Parts: sequence; structure tokens; C-alpha cells
Amino acid sequence: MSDFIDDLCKQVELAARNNTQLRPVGGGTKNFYGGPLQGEEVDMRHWTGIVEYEPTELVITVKPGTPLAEVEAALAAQKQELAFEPPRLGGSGTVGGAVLSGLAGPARLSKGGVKDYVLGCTLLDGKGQLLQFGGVVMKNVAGYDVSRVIPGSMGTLGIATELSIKVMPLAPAEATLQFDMDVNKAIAQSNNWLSKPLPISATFFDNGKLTVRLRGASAAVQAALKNMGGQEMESQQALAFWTSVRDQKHEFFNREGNLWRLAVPPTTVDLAMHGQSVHEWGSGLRWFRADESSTIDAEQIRAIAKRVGGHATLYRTANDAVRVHAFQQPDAVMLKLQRRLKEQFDPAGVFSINRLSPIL
Amino acid sequence: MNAPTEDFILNAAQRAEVIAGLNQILPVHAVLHEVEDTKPYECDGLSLFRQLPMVVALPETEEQVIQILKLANRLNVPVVARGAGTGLSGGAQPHKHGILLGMAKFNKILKVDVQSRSAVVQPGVRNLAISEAVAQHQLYYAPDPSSQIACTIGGNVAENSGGVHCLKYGLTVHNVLKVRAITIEGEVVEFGSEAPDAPGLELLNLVIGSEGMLAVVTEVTVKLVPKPALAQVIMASFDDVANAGNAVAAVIAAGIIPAGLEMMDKRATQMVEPFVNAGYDTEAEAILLLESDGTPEEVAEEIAEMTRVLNGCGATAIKVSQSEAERLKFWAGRKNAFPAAGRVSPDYYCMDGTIPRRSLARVLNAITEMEKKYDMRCANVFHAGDGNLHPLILFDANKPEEIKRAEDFGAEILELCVEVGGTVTGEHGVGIEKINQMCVQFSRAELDAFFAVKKAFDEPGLLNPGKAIPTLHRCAEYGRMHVHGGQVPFADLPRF
Repeated sequence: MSDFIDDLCKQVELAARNNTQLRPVGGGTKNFYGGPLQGEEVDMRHWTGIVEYEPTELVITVKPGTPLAEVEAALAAQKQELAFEPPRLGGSGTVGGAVLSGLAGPARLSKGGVKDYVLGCTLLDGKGQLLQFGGVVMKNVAGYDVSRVIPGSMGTLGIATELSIKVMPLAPAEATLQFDMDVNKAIAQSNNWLSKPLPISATFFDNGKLTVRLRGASAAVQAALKNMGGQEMESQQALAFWTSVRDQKHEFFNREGNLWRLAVPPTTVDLAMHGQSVHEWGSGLRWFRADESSTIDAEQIRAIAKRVGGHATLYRTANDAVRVHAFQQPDAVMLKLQRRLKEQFDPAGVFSINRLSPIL
Repeated sequence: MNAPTEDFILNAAQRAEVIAGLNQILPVHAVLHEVEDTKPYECDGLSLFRQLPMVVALPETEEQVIQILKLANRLNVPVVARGAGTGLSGGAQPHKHGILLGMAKFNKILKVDVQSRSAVVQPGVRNLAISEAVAQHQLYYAPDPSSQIACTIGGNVAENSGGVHCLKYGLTVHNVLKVRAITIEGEVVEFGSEAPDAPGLELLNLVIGSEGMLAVVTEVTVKLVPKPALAQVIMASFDDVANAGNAVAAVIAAGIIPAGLEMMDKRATQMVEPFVNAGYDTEAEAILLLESDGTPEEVAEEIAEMTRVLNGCGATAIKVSQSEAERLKFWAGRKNAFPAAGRVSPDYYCMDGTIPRRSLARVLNAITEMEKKYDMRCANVFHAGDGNLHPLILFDANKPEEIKRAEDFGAEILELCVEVGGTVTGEHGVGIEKINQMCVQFSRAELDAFFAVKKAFDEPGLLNPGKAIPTLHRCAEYGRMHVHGGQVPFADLPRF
């Protein structure tokens, strides 16, 4: 075992004994996300490197402190990628942060989320034990699939010390189309297209304009370009556009005010809340910012999201006082199960207390 | 062979109390406790492991399931949920002192939503029935375990079932949006969401593949996928298995994810061909089947590219299906490999390891050496795309000495799978069959972590006890799938 991991195990045991808390951090680019930061910082950027990458196996195994940019460059050199397009917020993020935050980019629509790509994970639990779940193969039903619970867990179950991630080949062809249409037409139209065998990779709706990215075999992209209509975007411009959406550099993300992230069933009609909204993922993901004049509060936004079968996250706020409730609370039974699982993996409450929920 | 039952032993009075309790929840015809009625439930697709349940309960409403689980929890009685019973690892093997919860009456498709590409179905709905019900909308449910005409979606959720198309379309875990289930405490809980994610820890991923040990599923929301306009299959021959393995890697390296990517060795093709007449090249040391799907233009492009790559890797012959009938014929051979094994040999053991693809030649060569060592034949069929190997060890159970040799042969193969970085089960599940092999793959601390997960969901440990995760004293021997003379339940079902 390396010195770093050896020390980390001891640090966890000590924290468990002393009832103190640890907070593993990578590039810190998502420190704004989730509940308030608590505990002594553990800088995972000392734990870096690609452990194994064999392109023909479609799997990369990395230490979580590895810069995301390094992993993406290694994959790109082999014409492969992380298909869930993790957002690069500030550019100094690590692969651990990308996975544990569970945030995915535009291609989430067609390629699935982070959890769909995590094949294996070594986890340092709250008792200071290193546990290996899953593996490096795509089909594996030995034991509970704990690895796939790690994405989006915000570190509440333990410190990931190694991650095996499925990778995908880059699509040979890409094109972007734009359409003028109102919000409800855009919701219906994107979902109509998605129920057809079209190579739709991503959608973005903003202010009367629906932008659709096509990706796949060149023949499929060409055929779709011919059939779908709309206005084709110049390729360099399209690349810059989708990068700005993925990395949340798009002008919408940088306006003033609390930014909400609503995950809803994609066919849900416009939620008609007073404010500005952009949609991704065939309208399954809706970013929302209330108008200054609006009186809508967090509770109302969450009630609306819940009523349609979704949930709302206070994604970014300048007000630290409200961060403790960044995520919507699941129903009571679900919360109980999550709480019990947390207790099993981290009985002393060493990790990420409050980051995901005031009770986890 | 039975699961350990010593933790839950009921005396006659307790047994009567359970049956009386069930009779208050269910109509009399839905509670079976005479041997002639419970006999059909004594095993699943793995018939070597048989155990009569104490009682079979056949609920048809969610409220009845809730009441049954509350009863079981109160009286400390094990509950084993069962779908169609096609599983290959004994996951649905009954508990001697438990309730066998037959979910077959939950057989309705509750909702199909074309616009959102999803369907809400009860757990007893058959896998293929979903695709049939939505075919009119040009949609289908992608995971296609070979038992799909009979197996149920509830069982698929329990096992995280795959199929031949999972390299491109994923496993059950990638194709289920939401699961509604009942905990052992009788509480309703929904995992996942029709939205892209759910708040907090994503426990849906734990429930899928949990072999009925965490909760009882009462409703499943599945993702539907648009049906591709066309599919074609390439059959490529190789005079060396290593070349065939290299060709698989080369196809992936060329940036292609085929819809299906299968390999069979010479013994497998020679075993299957007289049985199915699939048109296989029985002189080749190995054949590959590669499927491409999509628009006609896309398929033409991909087939041409794959053909180029295969030729570059030394394919000795290449044949492309020219019609849907021919495509299905190519697949029929592969899908009937297990029944064909039952035809050429009195018995066979089917292993289910997964390996990193780069180890394929090493593992197949090692298996060839093992054939000599154990003086036994082995046919290999392989989900080459995702590394899932199904060696079929041929033997005769009437010769007791052969059973032992076949067991040791299988054990050595699985040990090798773990050694090269793979896993002891790719898709058939651990169940009772491979429970001992879990000891090789996982450390004590990891197995304890699995028990901790179980405890978080099911504190008294009543849901499907004794399966999937070995206790310390179980960590002793390896399991296997034992088939005598093709006499498995559902012997006519193709098995991948």
C-alpha cells in the first residue's frame, strides 16, 4: 500500500475515534455545490495517475486526484472520451470530483449519466478499511453494485481511492441544428424526435431557440440533417456553443441570482415559474433563475418539481445560509434507507456530513 | 443441496400461524402448502438445487404484498420472491422454513408512454412482452437475456440481466428508470425516477442486481429505445482463436461498438451446426458474429468498416447476412449453444466468468490445456464484446468420478477469470450456485460491507437469506451449473 493511502487510512481511523470530520477535495471547482463544507480538508491531488488504460478494453482506471484534463487528453489521443461529458468548471477539476458529484454534460441525454459508466471503485470507508467493489469488466453481477452508488454521493459513503470508468469511442460525425420554437413546442418536438431512430446526442433550449446536436456514423448524421429541417450551425461555432453549455460558461449560467437545477420527466410541460429557464437533455434538465420581482421561494419551487415527479436542487447561490438545504429531501422511507446505508459505511460520521443532506 | 436454514427454523405451531396469517391476507387458492402444490416451486432454472418451500403465497395486489411482508417480519419468516423461475444460479430457490412469494400474477403493463419512451409494468410481465406491446410504436426494451420469452422483468431487475446486445445498449441497470418496491417492514419505496436523477444517494443502482435481497419489486418503469431500421450480421472465420480475439480488439480500436459481438470456438460450432444448420464454418478454429444496426446507410458504412478490420486481422472467410431470415439463422446457432451441448453430452457445466478481453487468448489456451489435464471436452461460447465467457464443460454425471473432475475443471477456469482481473459471474448471478466462489473474489471486509448493505435495507435478514453473499463458514467450495441430459426446467429456452 502506498504511503498516501496508508496515512489516509490512519487519518480516517483517527477521525472516527475523535469524532472529527474529513473532507476530501480535488480541484475544489465544485465547492459551491451541495451543502456547506465541513471538516478537515484532504487534498486528493496528491493521489494522481492513470493506473491502467487499455483502449480496446474500453476502460480506464485512475486515481481520483488525477486532473480531469489529463484523463480526457489520454482518451482523446486514442479517439475515446468520457461519454457523460463531465462539466469542467474552472478547468482544474479532478476525475474524482467529476465522478463523486455525479454531474454530467449535454451527452447525458443520449449516453447516460455518470453512474452508467462507473464499473469499479475502491472505497476507503469510515472505519478506515479499503473496499473494492465492481471491477474493470462491463458485465459483473458479483455482489451489490456499490460502485454505481458512488456517483452523486458527494463523498458521503467514503473516500474513493481508485475508479474504473467505462470509456467510449468518439463519434465519427457531428452536426448541430437550430430551430425557432416556443418552449412547449420545443419540449414536444425534442421528445418526438427522441422516440425515432435519430442520432440525437444533446439538446439545449433557450429563449425561443432549440439547439440539437447530432452525433454518430456520418451516414446517420447526414440522413438526419436532411430530414429534420432547421438551420445548421457552423461547426466551429457549434463546438464552442456545446463547450459553453457543458462547462457552464454559457452566459445563462453566469447571471445574478440563485440558480436552480430541476430534474423532471422530460415531457413535462413548461413549469411556468416566473423567471428565466434553459433546458437540456430533451427538457429533462431545466435550469431556472427566478425574476427579481418574483416572490417564488425554495419551498414552492420544490413543490412544483415534486408535483411533476422530479426534484429541484439549489445549484448555485451566493447565500451560504441556505446551502444546507441545497438538495431536495427524498421521501421519508427513502431517506431512512439512505441514512441507514450511511451509518453502515460511515458509522462515526467522518465524511461529508451535510454535503448531500442535513441528515447524511 | 440446500441453503443453510438453521437461522430460521419454525415448529409446527409457528408454521400453522404463518399459514393462518397468509390465509387472512389472500384467498384460499393463493396459499399453497401441500407438497403437490408447492412442488413446482422447488427450484428455478438451476435444477440441481431443490428445496420445497414451507408455503407458497401468490399475491395479486401491492397491498397483499405489504401485508405478507409485515406478517413475515412480525413472525421472523424468510421470504423468497420469484418471477418465472428461469434464473440459472438458484437465486429463487425456496427456503425450507420460508414463504415463496410468487409474483406471476403481477402481469400487467400499466402504462406505455411513447412520447417519453417509457413503460410502467408489473414485475411479472415477461421481458419480451414489453417489446411486443410497444412494437407498434417502433420502440422496444433493449436488454434481451436469452430466456426473454419466459423471464420476467422483476427477475431481470433482481439479476441485472444482460443479453447479446448489452455492449451497445447496456444492461438492465442502464434501461430501468424507476423501481417501486416494498421493504421487509412493509413500507413502499420508489427508487430512481422518471426524471434524469433522484435526490440523495442513487439506491436504484443497489437494488438492481440485488437478487431479491433488499426489497420486493412491485412496479418497474423501463426505458424504451427506438427500433433501428435495419440490422445485419457478419460471420467471420479464423484459423486461430488468438487472431479472433485480436480482431475483436481491433474492431473496438477502430471506434466501432457493434450491436452484438459474439465468439464461438470450433467445438461449439461443430456441436451446434448439426442441431441448428446455422451455416457456420465448422472448419474454422473460431467464428465471430458481429451485428450492426441503424439506418440502412449507417449499417452499410459500419459493415464495410468491420469487414476491412476483420480482413486485416486475418479472417479466413467473411459472410454477411443478406436477409432478416439469414440474420436470425446466424443468431439461432449462438442462442442454441446450451441445448446443443445437452444433445452431444449427457451433462454439462456452464461457467459464467467475465474477463478483460485482452486475456482471451490466454484463458482459451489455458482451457485447452485444462482439457488435457482433466481429460474432458469443453466448448466455448463467448460474449466477446463485453468479455463474458461461457465455457461448457461436457461430462457424464453417471460416472461419479467425472463429476468431481468437471467441478475441478470449472473451478480452475473461474479462478483464472479472477486472476486475470475478471469476475466469477457476468450475468447469471451468484444465487446459491456461486456463493462459495464469492470468497475468492472478495475479501472478508468487502463481504462484510455487502452484509452491511443488506442490513441497511433488511435488518432481520429475511429477504432471500443465504443467497449471493457467503458467510464465513460458506467460504469453502466452488459452485456450478449442472445439467443432466438437458433436463433443466425450460430446457427448450435458448441460453446464452
